[in-house]
Amino acid sequence: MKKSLTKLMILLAVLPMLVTACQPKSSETKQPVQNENSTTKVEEVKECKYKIGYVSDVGKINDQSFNQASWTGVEESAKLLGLGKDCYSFIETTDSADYEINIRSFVDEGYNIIVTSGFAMGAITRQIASENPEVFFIGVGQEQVNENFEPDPYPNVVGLNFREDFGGFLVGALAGLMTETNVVGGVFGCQFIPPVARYEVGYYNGVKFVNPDAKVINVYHPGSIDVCFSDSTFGSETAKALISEGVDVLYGAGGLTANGALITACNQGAYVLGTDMDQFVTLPEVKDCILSSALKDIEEGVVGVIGTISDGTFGGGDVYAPSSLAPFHNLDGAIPQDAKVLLEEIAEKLYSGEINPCTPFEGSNPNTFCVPIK
Amino acid sequence: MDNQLNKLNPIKIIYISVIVPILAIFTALIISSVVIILSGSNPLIAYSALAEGAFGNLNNWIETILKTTPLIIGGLGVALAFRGGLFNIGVEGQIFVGSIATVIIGTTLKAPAIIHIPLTLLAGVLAGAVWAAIPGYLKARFGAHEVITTIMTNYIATRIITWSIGVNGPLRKTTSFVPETNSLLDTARLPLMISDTRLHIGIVIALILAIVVYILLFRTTLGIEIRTVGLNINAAKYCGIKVNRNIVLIMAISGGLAGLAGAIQVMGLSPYNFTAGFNVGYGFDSLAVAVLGNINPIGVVFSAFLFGAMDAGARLMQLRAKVPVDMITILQGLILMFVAANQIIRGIYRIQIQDKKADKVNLSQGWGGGSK
Repeated sequence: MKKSLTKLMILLAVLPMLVTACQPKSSETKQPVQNENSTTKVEEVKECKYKIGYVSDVGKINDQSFNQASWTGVEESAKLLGLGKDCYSFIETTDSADYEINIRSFVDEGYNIIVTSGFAMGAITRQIASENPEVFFIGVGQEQVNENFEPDPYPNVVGLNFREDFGGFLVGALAGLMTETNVVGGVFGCQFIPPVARYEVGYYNGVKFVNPDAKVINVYHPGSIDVCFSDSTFGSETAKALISEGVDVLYGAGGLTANGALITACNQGAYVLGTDMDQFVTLPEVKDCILSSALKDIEEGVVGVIGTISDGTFGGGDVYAPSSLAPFHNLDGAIPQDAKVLLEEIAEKLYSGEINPCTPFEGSNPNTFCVPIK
Repeated sequence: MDNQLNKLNPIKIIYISVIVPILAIFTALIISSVVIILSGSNPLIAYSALAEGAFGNLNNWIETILKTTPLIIGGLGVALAFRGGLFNIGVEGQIFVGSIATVIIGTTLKAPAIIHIPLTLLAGVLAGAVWAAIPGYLKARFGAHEVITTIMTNYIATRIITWSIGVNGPLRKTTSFVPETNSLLDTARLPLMISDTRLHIGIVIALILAIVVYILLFRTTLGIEIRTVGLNINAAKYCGIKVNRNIVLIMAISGGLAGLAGAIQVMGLSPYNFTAGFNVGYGFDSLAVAVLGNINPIGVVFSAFLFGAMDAGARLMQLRAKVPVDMITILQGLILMFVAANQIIRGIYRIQIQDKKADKVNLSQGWGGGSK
């Protein structure tokens, strides 16, 4: 027993040396990170022009979706600003009760740019921002409104939002133009997530705009936040059911749930439409039947807003990035020329405000999350 | 198991219940550090950040305590059911149901705090107890295995709650974009132990409960009945113990504890409501905590503290060392594995125990021990 214990002790003693020897960089920077007195903090800031922290919503930073796009944006920004790898970091939230403490950890560690992702963290991000006016906050998917939903910008917080209803409307119009059975469908993540609801409303209205007689069957995942974006089986089964109802164009918005639907629909010969990223690229399984995607470049958006901090134009308040249509790729030839012209016209009218893509349905609750047209 | 332990001398008891877990933690840390190195980070930075995140200053201590509280209570629930030969996988769902009942009473009832707080806690307890009594009844009446039925009741609980706080749900705060309920009235919130911090009195309740459960199990007639049912159901019947009644009762107490864990989370943590993603995972961690704590109420306190500290410290570990939070899960899993299969640890460190009976630290008893 003694012998093996000593062996282990030696191993434990040698291990750190090995580790530090292999990573000279981190051993240099270890000292300032570990001491928290004020003098070393000054050094730290000198080393890092900015320290960027990212707090994920309940989820992972490699979810191939919302969180990943935001975190990649942070990494990109750090590269553009020439920050070392100790100047930016992340915390993955595991319990929504921890939002506050996770954000505060970055404040306590002297981070001066903090990116939080997901609308659920909106209120707490604003509260902490008001207590720390010297720290910049970027809330992805967080509208800067007070408790009564009136615009209430803070100078050190930018809410990075997207007009998902634009993208939804455009893919809806495309679906309405391409359907032969006059039945189109959609598979969506959680209904209570505003961007998802905006995609859905936009999609519905887009189909009806070009093709008032078409039937639209939209299905939301009924589950809670921890499954509604990751349930590809549900997506797949729903897609089968929709196709048996005559759907020949299927739109999917909702992470892996939607991806499951798109792959199944594609295998059964329907056209599909993707979301957030150009899914021709991110979901190669559907590259031969994907007409287009409703694009929302979160990564680019995060990089852009962090850029405004470094060039001094950071203004606070809401930023609404448009969401647009991805290229048609392989199916470019299948889409009639006049349809393409019409889509361009619609896009212009959307951006100019002539078309409101997000008119709430009659009798629906206010949570269709439409952005008021200015 | 305790009877077997009691036959050993105190030093050997310490060996099994203290030395083995400590060596398990030690070994798990070493194995995990290899994983951390492979993932390109420095385990020294990671572990020092982990320790600092858990104990570095008052606020970190408070976070550790806050994470520990629901794990103690949930762990007690699991341990108690375990002693009765029942494997209550349904703690997660019972926590949810308890939370929701808490929200209903805490947001609607108008009463002074001295009445409102106990009633709100009681709502959580009762909801959890009733929810857990259902699988208990199904087992007592029809012999349906509680592992299966509690897994199912978890699903049902999650879905009911998602619906109730979802779009147009009855508990949805109407003026919110977020799926959440209204906040509890001021009179239903747990008082703080230190003002201007997050530290509420939940931990006191948890520690008192640990003692209460200990006394219940080992110093009362009901405790003897519960343990007899757990050890040998036929012997229990032969002794004239009403086994079916006991099964329902054990599940109800276990679920009541789980429901209380949910109630304390809702009543103690700002913004004092139930949100999507709230309280996720405590139920399943409670299972691990109970096993690691040797299904002993006092052991549960220590293992909950260990898990709580790791959960709280994980924040700083991610921030400083960029080690994903999953590393903590790996670490916890390894510790659990070494404790459950403690022959591995005893093999590595050549710990010998003469009394062969002590080898039967039978943690998987719940699977077959209670079945008919």
